[in-house]
Amino acid sequence: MKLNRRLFLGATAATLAAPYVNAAGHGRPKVVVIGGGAGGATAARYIAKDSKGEIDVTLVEPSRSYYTCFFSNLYIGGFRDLSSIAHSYGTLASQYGINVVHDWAVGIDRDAKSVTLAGGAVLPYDRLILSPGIDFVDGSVPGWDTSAQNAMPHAYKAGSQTELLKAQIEAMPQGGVFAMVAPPNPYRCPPGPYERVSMVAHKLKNENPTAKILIVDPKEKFSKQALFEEGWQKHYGGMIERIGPDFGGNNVSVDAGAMTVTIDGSVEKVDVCNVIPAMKAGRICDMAGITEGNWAPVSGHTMQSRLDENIHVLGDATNQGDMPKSGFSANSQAKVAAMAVRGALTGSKVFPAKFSNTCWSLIDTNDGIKVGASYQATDEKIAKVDGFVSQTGEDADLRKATYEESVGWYAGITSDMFG
Amino acid sequence: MIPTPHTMTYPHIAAGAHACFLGEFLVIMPPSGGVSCIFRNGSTLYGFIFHRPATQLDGYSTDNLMEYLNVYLFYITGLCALTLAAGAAQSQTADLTTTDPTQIATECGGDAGRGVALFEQNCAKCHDIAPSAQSKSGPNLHGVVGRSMGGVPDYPYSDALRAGAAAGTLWDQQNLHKYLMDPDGYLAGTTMEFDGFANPQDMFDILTYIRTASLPPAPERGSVTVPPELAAEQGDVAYGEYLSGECMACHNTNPQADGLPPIHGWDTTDFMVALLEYKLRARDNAPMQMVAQALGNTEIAALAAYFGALD
Repeated sequence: MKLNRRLFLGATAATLAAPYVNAAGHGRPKVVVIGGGAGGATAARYIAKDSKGEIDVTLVEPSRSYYTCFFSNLYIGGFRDLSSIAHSYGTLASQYGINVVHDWAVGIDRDAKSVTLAGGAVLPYDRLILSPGIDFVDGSVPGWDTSAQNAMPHAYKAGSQTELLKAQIEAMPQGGVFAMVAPPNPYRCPPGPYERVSMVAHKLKNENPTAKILIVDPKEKFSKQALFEEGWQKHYGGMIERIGPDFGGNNVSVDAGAMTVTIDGSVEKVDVCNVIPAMKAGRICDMAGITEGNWAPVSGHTMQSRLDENIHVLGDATNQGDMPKSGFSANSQAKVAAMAVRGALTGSKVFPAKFSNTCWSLIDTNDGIKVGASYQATDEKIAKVDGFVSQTGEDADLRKATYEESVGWYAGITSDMFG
Repeated sequence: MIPTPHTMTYPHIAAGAHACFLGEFLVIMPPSGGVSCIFRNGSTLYGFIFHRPATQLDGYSTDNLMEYLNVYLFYITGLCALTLAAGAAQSQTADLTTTDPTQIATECGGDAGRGVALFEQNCAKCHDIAPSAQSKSGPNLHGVVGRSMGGVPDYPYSDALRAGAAAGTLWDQQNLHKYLMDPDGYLAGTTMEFDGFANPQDMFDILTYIRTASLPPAPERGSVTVPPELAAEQGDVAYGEYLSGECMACHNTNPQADGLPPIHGWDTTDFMVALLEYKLRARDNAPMQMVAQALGNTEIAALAAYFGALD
């Protein structure tokens, strides 16, 4: 469906018909954003920027340095250094007037409309935006829990875990085995585990060419599979073995002390084990009582929680429909939420929700691939409209251009998030 | 062959609708003329809707309708995951003049990318599809959707197809579906050496590809101009500001950044032409083509107005 003037005028009229709340009775309306990643930082920045000071925005994020999950695989592969994927919140505070609070949110009182922080502060809100990313499902990989993450890193929240995984790969004995326990659907960044395998293979090919990579995967199929498999064959022939559910990839346990992976009863000794467990919405969503199952259901029109209209949820934590859980998706959803929040709190114009996503992955030097789609909101979900994907057999110039495009995108989206 | 319909009322459908079970299928016929089918796969019910103009159902008795539907129910039999989107592919009111690949994919209910490979496997031995190519042992299929049966000049068609041509029968999607699922059943005497598709999705994918491959070639970059109706649009800056969010996920306003090309401060005509060239595929780049194809004139004008006003 194309957007047109008649449609968005309709949407505007509907918004104006609803009375807009103002600031719990005093001063400027208040928005609290929890989580400073692709969803939260973008939402905070767009609300502050576009409301031109009319809305008081507080961003709650525990980390002073934010490491993007996207491009963290490129750090493992040696294509980026860690500082190049680290970002601070200084510009959001100084240029956009956002109150950046480095603390953990530990409680949400939906009746009083307030957030309690670990440090004791209580923040009232007119609208709350939750963009907490993911947490892991306890017990999804038997033998693994957070206490095992030093021996068997997940590296699926970027930063120290990513550094640890890279250091472990560098310490592998010659001819050693790198194992990955891949996650079941749905999970953050569908091509992420397979881009990671590509980057590990790239590193091992140079440093440890007799090493092996073993993927234990509960899924029949995965994102951009034909493209990855073609690339693995071309660049890393024989190094990577994937065990899917037909061969027991869905029946796996680990022993972090013994460094073993047991696949369908057969015990494998490995040197590095990257366990990426099943995922669920960041814990604060559970604490707020806005989850159903593992995720927070939202309306695609506004990204409002289906369980509390004063709360918007963004990104990986949501159950929204067809969009993959990605930084690009979260950034796209943040702009729809920012528009809806401004409309509700200041009466600004509201337009039909419109989303897009592109996921670039790097297979080897200058061998980039991408998949993307556009989306619109229906009453049921965020629905895919159109899409594209790289093709197998593309020439080297196109793959190089795709990689260079991803580097340009990284500069663009991080500037869009952090100012 | 056709089971006797057991007519019953169905409380969730408007008064006057008929519903019946055909084997495993519950078929619903609302009085508006659209025909819906709900079928079961394991414990999941799937809906399948044939959007047919009401007039085209005039004169169908219930039994005739069941006969007509049986053709489609036959298609549905090997299907598990067919969604409502594919149901829209049944539209007979398809706008065959559209050049928008998204619109074509929606109308045909398939994926042109999959269709390329399927065309190679199933069709390419006997059919070419390039615009000026000679017919092989089968006729050239460039532009076949929507043209008359037997429409390639000088091709030695079978008597069956000549008869269709004489009767003025068109290869609309409906007729192509029936023919491609069961060539001999639909057109006794056809000389096409093909047994029909087992999986209707393969057929939808191939038709999507044929439609896409039959598009006029993309214009040359540099030859696109702003049409008067776009030039006449008053770009809504507030709307452009909202839409710009999609652009800023990749493009950068910071001149120091080594990102993608900056797009602010452009002349509005240049900006519109750039988007039109992506939309018409005169410029390559899949993400930009996708973005531009989702923009109508109102959106293009709004974005040009917003970015043009930025420093």
